[in-house]
Formats: sequence, structure tokens, C-alpha cells
Amino acid sequence: VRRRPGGGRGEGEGPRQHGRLFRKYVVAFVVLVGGALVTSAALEAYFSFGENQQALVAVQREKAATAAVVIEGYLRDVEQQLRVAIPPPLLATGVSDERRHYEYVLLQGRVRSIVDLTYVDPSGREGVRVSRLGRDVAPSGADRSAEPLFQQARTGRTYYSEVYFRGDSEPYMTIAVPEPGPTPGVTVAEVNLKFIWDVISRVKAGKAGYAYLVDAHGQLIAHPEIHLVLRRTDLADLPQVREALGGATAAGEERTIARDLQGQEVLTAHQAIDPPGWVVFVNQPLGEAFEPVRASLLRTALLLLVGIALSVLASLFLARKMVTPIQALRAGAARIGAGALEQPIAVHTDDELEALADEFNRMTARLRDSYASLEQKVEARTRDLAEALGQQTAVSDVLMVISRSAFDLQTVLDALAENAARLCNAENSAIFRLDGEVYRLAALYGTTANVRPVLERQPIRALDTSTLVGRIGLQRRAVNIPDCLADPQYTGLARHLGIRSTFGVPLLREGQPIGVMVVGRNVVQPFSERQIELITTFAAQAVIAMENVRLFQEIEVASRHKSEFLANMSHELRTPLNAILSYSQLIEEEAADAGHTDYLPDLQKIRGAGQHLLGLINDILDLSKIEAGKMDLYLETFDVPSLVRDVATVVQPLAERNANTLVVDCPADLGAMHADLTKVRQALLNVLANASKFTEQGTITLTVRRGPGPYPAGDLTAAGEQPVPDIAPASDWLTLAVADTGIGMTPEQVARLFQAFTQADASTTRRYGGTGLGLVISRHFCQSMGGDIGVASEPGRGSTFTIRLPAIVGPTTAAVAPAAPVAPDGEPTPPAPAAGPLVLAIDDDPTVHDLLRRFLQPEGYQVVSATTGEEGLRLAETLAPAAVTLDVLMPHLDGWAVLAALKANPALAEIPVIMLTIVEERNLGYTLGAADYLTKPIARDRLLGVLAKHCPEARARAVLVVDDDAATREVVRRTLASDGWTVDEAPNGRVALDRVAAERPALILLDLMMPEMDGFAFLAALRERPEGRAIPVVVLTARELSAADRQRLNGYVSAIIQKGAYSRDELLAELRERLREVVRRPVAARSP
Amino acid sequence: VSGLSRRRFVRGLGVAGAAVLAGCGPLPWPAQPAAPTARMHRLGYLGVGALAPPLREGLRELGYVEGQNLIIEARDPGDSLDRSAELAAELVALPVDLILTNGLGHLRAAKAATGTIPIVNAGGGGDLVQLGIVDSLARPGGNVTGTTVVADRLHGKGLQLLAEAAAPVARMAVLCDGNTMVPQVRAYFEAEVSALGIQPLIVDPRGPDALEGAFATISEHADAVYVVASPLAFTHRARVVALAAQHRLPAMYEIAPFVRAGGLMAYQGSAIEMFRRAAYYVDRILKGASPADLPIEQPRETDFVINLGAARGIGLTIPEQVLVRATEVIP
Repeated sequence: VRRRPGGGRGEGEGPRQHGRLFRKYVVAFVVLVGGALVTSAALEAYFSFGENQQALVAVQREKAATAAVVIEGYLRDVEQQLRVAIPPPLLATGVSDERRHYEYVLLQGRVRSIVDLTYVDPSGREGVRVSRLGRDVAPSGADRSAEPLFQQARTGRTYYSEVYFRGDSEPYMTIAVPEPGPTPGVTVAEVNLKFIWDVISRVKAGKAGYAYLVDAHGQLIAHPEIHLVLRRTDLADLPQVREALGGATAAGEERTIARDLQGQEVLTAHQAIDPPGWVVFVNQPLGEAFEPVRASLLRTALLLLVGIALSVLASLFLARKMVTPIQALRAGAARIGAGALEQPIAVHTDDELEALADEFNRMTARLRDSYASLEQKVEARTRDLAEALGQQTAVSDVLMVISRSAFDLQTVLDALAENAARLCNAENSAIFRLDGEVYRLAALYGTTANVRPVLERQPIRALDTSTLVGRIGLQRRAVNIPDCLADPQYTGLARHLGIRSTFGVPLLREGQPIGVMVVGRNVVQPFSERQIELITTFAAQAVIAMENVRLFQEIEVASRHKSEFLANMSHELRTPLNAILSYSQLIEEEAADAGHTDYLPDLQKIRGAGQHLLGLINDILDLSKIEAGKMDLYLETFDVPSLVRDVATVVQPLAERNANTLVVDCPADLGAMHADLTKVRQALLNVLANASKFTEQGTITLTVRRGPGPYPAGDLTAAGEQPVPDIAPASDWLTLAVADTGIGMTPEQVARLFQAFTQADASTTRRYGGTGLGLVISRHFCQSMGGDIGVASEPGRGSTFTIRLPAIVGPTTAAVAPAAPVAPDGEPTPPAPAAGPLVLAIDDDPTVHDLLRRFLQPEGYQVVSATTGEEGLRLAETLAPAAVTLDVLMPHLDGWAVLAALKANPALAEIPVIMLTIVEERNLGYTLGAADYLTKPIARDRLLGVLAKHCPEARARAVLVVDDDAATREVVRRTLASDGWTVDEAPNGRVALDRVAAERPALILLDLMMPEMDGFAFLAALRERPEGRAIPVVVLTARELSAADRQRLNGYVSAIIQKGAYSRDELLAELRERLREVVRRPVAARSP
Repeated sequence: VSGLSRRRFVRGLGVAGAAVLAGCGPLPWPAQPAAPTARMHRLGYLGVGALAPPLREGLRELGYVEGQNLIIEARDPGDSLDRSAELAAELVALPVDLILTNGLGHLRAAKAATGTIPIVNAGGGGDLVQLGIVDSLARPGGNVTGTTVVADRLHGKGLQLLAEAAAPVARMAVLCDGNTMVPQVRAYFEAEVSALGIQPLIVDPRGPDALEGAFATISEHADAVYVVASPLAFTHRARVVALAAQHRLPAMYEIAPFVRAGGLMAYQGSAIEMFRRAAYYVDRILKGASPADLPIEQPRETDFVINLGAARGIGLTIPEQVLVRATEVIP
């Protein structure tokens, strides 16, 4: 999900905020209600616990008290009965033993727990004894006066003995009471206390509660578990017993929770029985005692839980009730924020929230209204903008068309007319140009296209006010005809064409109308200001386009004139100069041959001056071309060592003239470079020539290297070298460094070195000759190829000139050659080489084909392969090869059969067949008509020799020299003739065509500038003819060739030799070389 | 809070509430009342006659109802101690949870039959410590507990009351059971009677057939007879009573059933009390208490039953000082 920066935060928080509010409400409600519930429950629990405990203790105490009362009552009853054992009236009269015995038996009957009764008389003597369980024994008279029971009873107080056990298991106590009277006897009773056990056992406190009884010493005397009693359990150590016996504890401090004998926690209460100082305890296990309390607590907790659950539910309900409308409000606000104003916020709570929602809705309505008006405004504005944008786009389109077709006026005007109509919502538009007294149609658009012939036939007169065009031309301002039919004066064509509203503006140049632009609608609808403005703009554009074309045409004409002038000048100057030089050299040679040595120095001076003049002319021409930006590059691929060798050969004599040694350091494997050969050569020659000139008896070293970057390995730079400007780094560079041991230069001289018409100083010019233009031109050449010339020099120590050039000069580096003839693939197109002699190799072994191709192609042959005899025959028929090599051993049709077939066919019989086989059947071969017989392995030189012998081209060395200058023809003829060529001559193209028709030459040397039929026309005519198509043509001209010239020659000629660039020797050397190349028909070169 | 999560919350609340309720354990309101012991208890009874009504009553009061949670296997060996041993073994073999005995002979038979099944003696049994049946009354230490009457003093009282009622008595006979009497008993009775200043005559018939002869002897040599509640005498109490009446012998019986059968007097520890108390022992033992820890109790009360009709029959007038001791007088 894409989050809008800033906005995303608010949106993301929406639901969370709702949740937070909801939670807040819920928590608040729950805390409120739940807190109240918990508090009340806790308080209730606390108080009910306390009250319950008190109540329980009270109940227990009650039980203890009851038990105590019963026990005490029992004891008192026994005591009372004992006191009245003998009825008082009897006592007064004295009691006999029998009577006492009888009374005691009755007493036993009344009080069944009295087991034994003994009478101790006032003197302490034992008297009557009555027993229920044993025999009654006669009074023993034993003295018991010292016993505590007697002592105590005598004082009137009842004596209670410790509890004792008979037969280990029966609890008994001795109670002694005095008889009433002044000298009382004492009745001693042994009382069975099982009744007390029963009482204690019967006390129940809850289920597990029980009572027990301890005596004044803490001895257990009654307990439901009788064995505890019988074991004489001592409870005096229990705190509650100790406290109860101590009797000092206040009621408030009474211990209610204690541990019983078993260590169990119990709720305890007690009650004392005094006398005999016993204490009844009632215990109830705490767990059981508090069972009801726990139950009540549990009930409370459950109620609390239910209450809390209900409160949570109520909270959820209430919070939802409160949050839902708020959420609706928030969602509504969010909708408003998001711009959705259609949906009102629906809150029906009948309170402030609903009022708030209503306010929101009112606000939304207001917003909606203002949005609506805003939208209308925006819509209108957008419409305006769209319209303006459309017009802008149209204008820019038109401008683009104009810029793209700057010199194609018709296209521009058509575009203007079309766009004008379209943007004005008009069906028609037209542009007229003023031509003298009439406006002629220049462009037409729309439904009125069929009136074009009418308008072209009948131009509109300039001052005719019945037409719109005429009116505009007259008024020189925009004219609007809202309705043609409503204008009584208007009789223009538009009426007939159904045009109602029409409008036009003049095309004004310097205030004068040069045309008119009109638009027309087929309905009555006035043109808006904007449209009028637009048409005016278009009109201005049309004027500009017309002016551009006019100016361009003027410039073109001027430029053509200048080029023509330069070309003609160079031709006119150099042609006589060439003649002068050639003849002076011929004369020199002939004078030398004839022994007229006296004339030689003068002749040499003539030739030297002529050559200087020729050099000056060439340099000035070059310079003028450079300055005019017309320096063209003709890129081709050539072998660098060959170039270096060539140049060195040329420079060698110059160097020797000043007794210099020329050292060439150029690795033979330096490879080829792709550049403008002529210019590289010229630059290198110039630098070498300079070095030769300014050095005497020294060494001139030419070092050629290839390497990466603009500064290749074996750095040749030295201090003071000029920085090389704007050289793009390349991976493959050539460095040609020329170091001399000459006079050298000061830094100031170096600084002036590359300025035109400057040598180191004026004196050097005088002393060493030269125009001083060479280095400037050379540097220009190098720079135009993306390289440069640098120099490092020290006066007296010599100079080093370094030419750096990229090995591959791309078209992009040819910065100074914008008008270079550039083929679609972006590379300069060299003259197309004609096809070389075709050799058909018939052999079933592909390696032989490959081998032959390798051997022959570098020598200018074309090789076509056939792998079977049948194919070979077919190809021989279709290709008519210059020669055939033929293997013997082949499947199906063997070599002999092929040879026989070839010789049997009259059309093919003349083709020389060279047997190339391992079969040694020489005689058979010759018998069958083979031209030669070679045995494998193939020897390259032998094969080449044999082929050269048999190929017809190698024999025909007829050259046709076409030149209007007889001197030139003469020089060429002489030169070529001395090289063994047959030379035919023609003064112009027409004659040359006749000559070609008469005898097909092997080569044509062609001058371009000739009367009657110039070189261009000749070439065109020649290539028209079937026999002329294959003849190689070498252009030899003094004319400065423009890019257009080269374009015209492209594809027609094999080579171009410019007369001005060479001395006669050089020219002839070049000519020989080119002829040789042409005759060889190099096919290794790139095909066109 | 979405609707779903709200529903889930409410449902969760309900579940939590139920869990709290479940976790509260015992509910605050009472569950259905449980029977004291759901289990069926099997009691063996070894003694003459049926189980005494006070014992049954006592058991019922403690929640033991025959047929519901209680089966009583009653075995009456009559006057035969051999039979008693047989029946004791039979009860042990059943087995039973507890054996109730009545009287020393049956108690000994049961004790001989088992050392593990708790034995509760209901009714008198004599000085069980002296007889070597228990370690002490407070802490019996074996599988025997219950009630007893340490009879020495009580026999003495009965002998004294007989002497007083039939005075003057020169020679007093004691009718024992020759088959069951141990030597100490003879010595005991001779000493007790002598202590009253009366010549003792110990008569120990061996079997019911010897009763006639025994009473003839007594009638010939003694003025009164004390009848020990031996199995023999108890079984044939009607004949014993009739023989005593026939020979016009004032007789004191050890236990009340003789008087109810027409005998003159009986002085005993409260039988009702002892039988009732036996129920307590049964309850405690069935609930897991060890008989070794339950002290043996003696009756607190004594019964002195006088049959005035029998007295008239033999022409005897019970003196006043004897009569006042009676707890029950049968006209």
C-alpha cells in the first residue's frame, strides 16, 4: 500500500484512534463499576469474616458454657447429695453404723455414679464403708485425719481429689464433704466420672468439633477419644490451656484460634468450672468452622465475577454506543478530508453528537458548493489551457517542421496552412505569394483543394479589393470578413466554395507584403482574438521560412561561386605550373643527356622556383579550405610501415642534401591505420622535410610507435612541449616522432611555431625557404583526425616533433569535416575497386579453396570455388572466369572430363585451364587442352606466375589519357611509356568516348576540367556503355575536389590523384603505383 | 473493536465464568446427603442367643441398618466350647469385618481363631488383663477390645448380697462349669466366699446331665448357691432355675437372664450399658480405628434384679437393706 507522505500518517491512525477511545471508555466503565463491586465485596468479606468468627466463637463458648454448667451441676448435685447423705434430724440424735450403712446404700441408689462411700468420723477414724462393686467391709478404724480430704472437709469446704483411674480405664474422683454440725464427720465418696465423659463426648461443634476437659493442672480428664484421657495426656503446654488455667487473660485477648493436640488449627473456646478448677474447651477445626464463611466468600466472589462480567458487557455496550457515532463522525470527517462530499454523516443519537454531525453535514454542503464552483472555474481554465497548449503544440510542431525542412519551403507552407485551419476550426486555409502584380497560390489546405487548378491558372490580382487577398495586400493588415454573403463588395472565390467566415493576414517583409495567409470557415462564426493572433504568428513563421530559403539560396549560390572560383583558380594556376615543371625536368634530362651542362643550373633554378610556387599555391589553397571549414577527410585503411617507408624514400634525398642521416625506427608489424592517408602523409612529410631543412650534418630520427592512450609507451614528449588539446582518450594510438639534431628553438619561437605565416623568425624564412604554412596545415590535418602535433625543443640541441593520431579515425573524431561525403553507415566511401580477374577453383577439397583464396586474393584475384565438376562447369558458363584451376581426382565427373567439356564448349574454350593436381599426367593434360600443369603441393609463386602469364588483363596495358592539356598528356605519356604502357590520348571526354569505343583500354587516366565534355560527363557516359562499365578510371586532376565532386565521382573511379600535391617524380611514382593497383584490381578492399 | 472480536470477548467471559465456578470445588449449597457408609459391613456374632437388642439399637443409632449396610452373621454355639471354636473359625473363613462376642468363652474362641480380625466383646468377660487376653484395659494392644466387667469385686458383691439375703448362711455353693472353669476361678471363689466368713463349696458339673446331681449336692451341703453364668448354666438356665427352686435354694445368678427365667436374684454390670457401648466400638473400628488403641470399658452402672415371686416360692423374705439396693424388682 502506498502511503502518502504526511497524509498516510493520519489515515493509518484512524482505526487505532477509534480503538483507543473505545478501550478508554471500556476501561473507565470497568474500573468504575468493577472497582465499586470489588470494594464492596472486599468490605463485606472482611466484615462477614470477622462477624462469622465472632459468632462461631460465641457459639462454641456457649457450648463450652453449657457443658460446664452441666458438669458443674452434676458435681454440685453429687456434693449436695453427699451433704444430705444422713438426714439432719438423724445427725442430731446420733447415727448408728447400721443406719449410716443403710443411708449410704440409699444414697448410692439415688446417685448412681457414687460407687463407694466411706465415713470418716470427726476424730478422723474410718467408719462405715459401702461399695457398689465390692463387698461392704466393716469399719476398719484406720486414721485418716491427716489426709487432705479430711483436713479440707473439716473446714467446711468440699474436697475434690485429682481424677484417677481404676483398673486403668475407669475415671474416678474422690469428693469429701463434711456432715453438718459442730463436730462433723466427713463423707468420702468415690465418684465415677464417666458421666462427665458422656457430657464431653456429647458436645458437638459442627461435624468434627469436640469438647474436652482439663483439670487445674492441665491434665486431660475428658475427651471423646478416651484413650487420650487414659494415657494421662498433659495439655498444660498448649497455649490456650495455659492461658485458660492462668485465668489472667482478659476477655478481649482471648485466644480463639489455636492448635490442638494434633497440631491442627482449631477455633477454640473454653469455660472454667470452679471448683474443682477444671476448664472445658470446645474446639472446632478451623477449616470446618470457616466452611460457611468460605462458602459465603465464594458466593461473594462469584457474584463479583458475574458483576464484573456484566459490567464489562455493559461497558462494551456503552462504549460502543458512545464510540460508534464518534467513529461515524471520524469516518465522515475523513471522507470530507479525502474530498468525498456527497455522503452525509449519519448519526442519530439525539444529542450533541448528532448536532455535531449536522454541523459537519452543513459544512460539507458548503464545501460541496464551493468545490462545485471551483471545479467549474478549474474546468474553464483547463479548457483555456488545453486550447493554449494545443496552439502551442501546433506552433511548436510547425516550428519543428520549419526547422526540419528549413530549405523545403513547400513543406513548411503546407504545414502552416494545415495547422492554421485545424487550430482555427476552419475547413480551409491558403497561402499566397506575391509575384509581381499577382498573388500566386503557395499552399492550400482543406475542402477547397479542387480549386487549386483554378487558382494556379488565374492568380489573384494584387489590388483587387473584391477579393480578400487583394484587400489584405492593399491594407497590409489583418482583414476579417465575418460573412462573405453579407459583404456586398466581396466577390471572391470563397462565395462559390461555400466559405462564409473568412480571415487573412499579410506576410510582410520590411513592411512590404510578400504574401497573404487566409483561413475560411464554411459556417458563419467569427474568429477569436486568440485565433487571429495564431494566424498572425503563423504568417510571421511563413515569412521567416520564405526568407530563410531565399537567404540560403543566395548563400548557396555565393558559396558555389567561391568553390568554383577556387577550383578553377587552382586548375588554371597549377596546370601551367605542372607543364613548366615537367618540361623543365625533361629539358634538364635531355640537356644532361646532350651534355649541355651549362644550362643545367638555370634549368634547376626554374624548376625550383616553379616548385616553390606550386607549394605556395597548394598551401594557400589548403589554408583557405581550412579557414573556410571545408577541409574534408577521406578515410581509408592503409599499412603504416608502407606509408613510413614511402615517405622515407621521398625524404631521403632532402635529408642527404644537408648531409643528414635519416634513421627510421618503425616496427614492421605496426599494422594498418584508418585515416586520411593523404593528410597523414603530408603531415609526416612536412615534419620530416622541416627537420631535414633545419639540420645540417646531423641525424634525423623517425620513431613510429603504436600504443594505448594519447601518450603511448616509450614516451616521446619532452620539456616545453605544447599541451595537446582536446584529445579524446583512445585505446589505440600511433605516435610518429621526428627528432633532429638541428638548431632547435627557444620557447618563444616554439610558441609562435603554429601561427600561420610564421617561422621561428623572419631570417629563417629567408635562410631556409618555405612558406611557413606547412606546420600550421599539418597540425590542422592532425587535429581534424583527432590527433595533434606536439613539439619539444631546445636551442642548439634540436627539436622533436611528435605526431599523435588515433589508429582508427572515426567519423566523430573528424571534427573539421562536417561536409565529408558520409555514406549511410557513417563511413567515408572510397572509390569502388573494380572486380579483379576471376579465378574459378574446381576442387573437391575445401582446404584447396581456402589456400587458393589466401594466395590469390591479396594479389587482386577473385576466387570462386566449386566442389564438383558439374558445379565447376556451370559456374564457368555463368561467370566466364579469367582462369580455371582444376583438380583431377573428383567424384562423379573427374578433372579430365571437366577439361574436355570446357574445351568442347566454344564459349569457354578460350579460358585458360590450369591443372592443379597430384596426378602426374602432364602429357594427357596438355593433350586435352590445359594451359598449364601444376602438381600439388601448391607453390605460391609458381601459381601466381602461371596465373599472371595466362590472365588476359596482365597482358593488356593500354592506358587512355584524357586531358585537355597537351603538356600534361605528353608528360604522362612519356612517363608511362617508359614503364612499358601503351598510351592513347584524348583531349576531351567526347574524343575519349570514341577512343574507348574503338579500342577498350585497360585503364583510363582522366582529367576532370576539360572543354566540350568534362570528366564528370565523360564518366557518366562511360558508365552508361556496357563496354565501359568495367574499365578502371583513375582521376588525375589539379582541380580542388569538393565534397559534391567526390560524391559525383563516388563509385565511378578507382583512384583520385591530385596533381597539386606532388612533384613530378612523386606524381609519376604515385601514378605508377595506382596503375599497378588498379590493374591488380584489389578486391581485399571494402566493397562499396 | 470489530464485531467478531467483541463476540469472541463475550464468549471468553462466559467460559472464564464457568471455569471459575468449576474451580470453586464444593458448591456452597449442600450436595445430596451421603449415607454414613455406603459399604456393606459384615459382622460376625459369636454368642448364645441372638444379638442383644441394645446392641442392635446402638448400631442403628450410629447409622448401621441390617440389610442396608450391615449383615450380621450370628453363630450360637450353645453350651459347647468346641462348637464355639468351630463357629469362630467359620466366621473367620467367611470372612467378616469384625467379630462380636458375648462372654469370656466365646471371646477366647474368637481370639484363638484370628489375630487380625477385630474382636469386640459385648457384655462381661472378666479380668481380661489377668486372663492374658489384652495388655491393659487402657490400651488393649491386640485385636480385642470392647466391654468387660472386671468381675472380682462384682462377684464378691453378689456373694455378699446373697449372704445378706439368705442369712444366715453357713456354707455357700458356687455353681461353675466344669468344662470351662479355669483353676484360678475355683481359688477365687473359695477366697471370696471365705472372706464373708462362710464355708465355700465349689460345684463344677461337667455337662447338663450332671446338673441334677450338682444341685442335690448343693442342697445337701449348702444354704445358698451362686450360679456363674457359664455356657452350661446359661444354656440350661431354665433347668438351673427350676432345680434351685426345687431344692428351695436361695440363689444369686451372675446375670439377669436367669432371673427373667424365674431365678431369684442377679447382680451384674449394666448389660444394657455394655451392649450399647459395644456399638460404639463397632463403629469406631469399622471407620478405621485400631482395636489395639480403643480402651476396654467397664459398665458404670450395676443391675440388681430381685424376683420377689421366686423369693415367695422358696419362702424367703428379702431383708430391707438388700431390697433397697435393687435396681429392678420383679413382683
